[in-house]
Amino acid sequence: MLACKKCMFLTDQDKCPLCGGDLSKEWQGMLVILDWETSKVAEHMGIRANGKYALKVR
Amino acid sequence: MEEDKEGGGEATGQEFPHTIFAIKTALGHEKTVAENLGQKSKRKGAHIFSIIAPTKLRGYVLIEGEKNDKAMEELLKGMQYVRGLVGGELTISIDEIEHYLEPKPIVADITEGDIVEIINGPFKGEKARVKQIDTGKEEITVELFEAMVSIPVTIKGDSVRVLEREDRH
Repeated sequence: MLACKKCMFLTDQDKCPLCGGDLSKEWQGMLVILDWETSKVAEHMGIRANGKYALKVR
Repeated sequence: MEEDKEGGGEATGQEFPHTIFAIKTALGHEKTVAENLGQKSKRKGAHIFSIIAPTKLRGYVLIEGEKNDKAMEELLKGMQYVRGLVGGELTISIDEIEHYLEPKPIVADITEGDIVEIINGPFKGEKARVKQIDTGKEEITVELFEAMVSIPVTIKGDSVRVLEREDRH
């Protein structure tokens, strides 16, 4: 799994499906957003889509 | 007696607080638990909004959702690497976990001249002095104390633990 350097979305694709950003294999931590509209964590992080995110990307 | 087989999916009529709480996991399997719990939660329609597996919180995963202990225990039952719900009245505010969500740069606490111990990789256990810091790449260049010839080695900033700080006055 790779992480987007821009929005930190985790994906197995070649480009970030959310923002089209470049991907990195060096990432740490994980955040799984299941309901971005209700989640205070998603609001805090500025996340507006459900899915898996890294907490840190190099 | 009726059992909640759906792990929190059905409406019970009772309202539970939207909060953050923790579950204990096997060390090193925090991300696996977060992923699996996310899938199971979706399947069962549990009232979980996000799951956080911070790097610096080993052996625990944080869950944001409605704190219904009974439904949560049912959901966690049989899950690999899950060691159980951290029970009691312990709930966590978002302010308390903020530092896990926005970790400061790994090299922020390291200064040139600091003496560090290398904690992983081929030089694990070696002591070294920091010669250069690359904040962008989060890498540091060190010189190993034990080396016969002083060769600078560049390693990741999270591969070291600061032992002694350079005198900064």
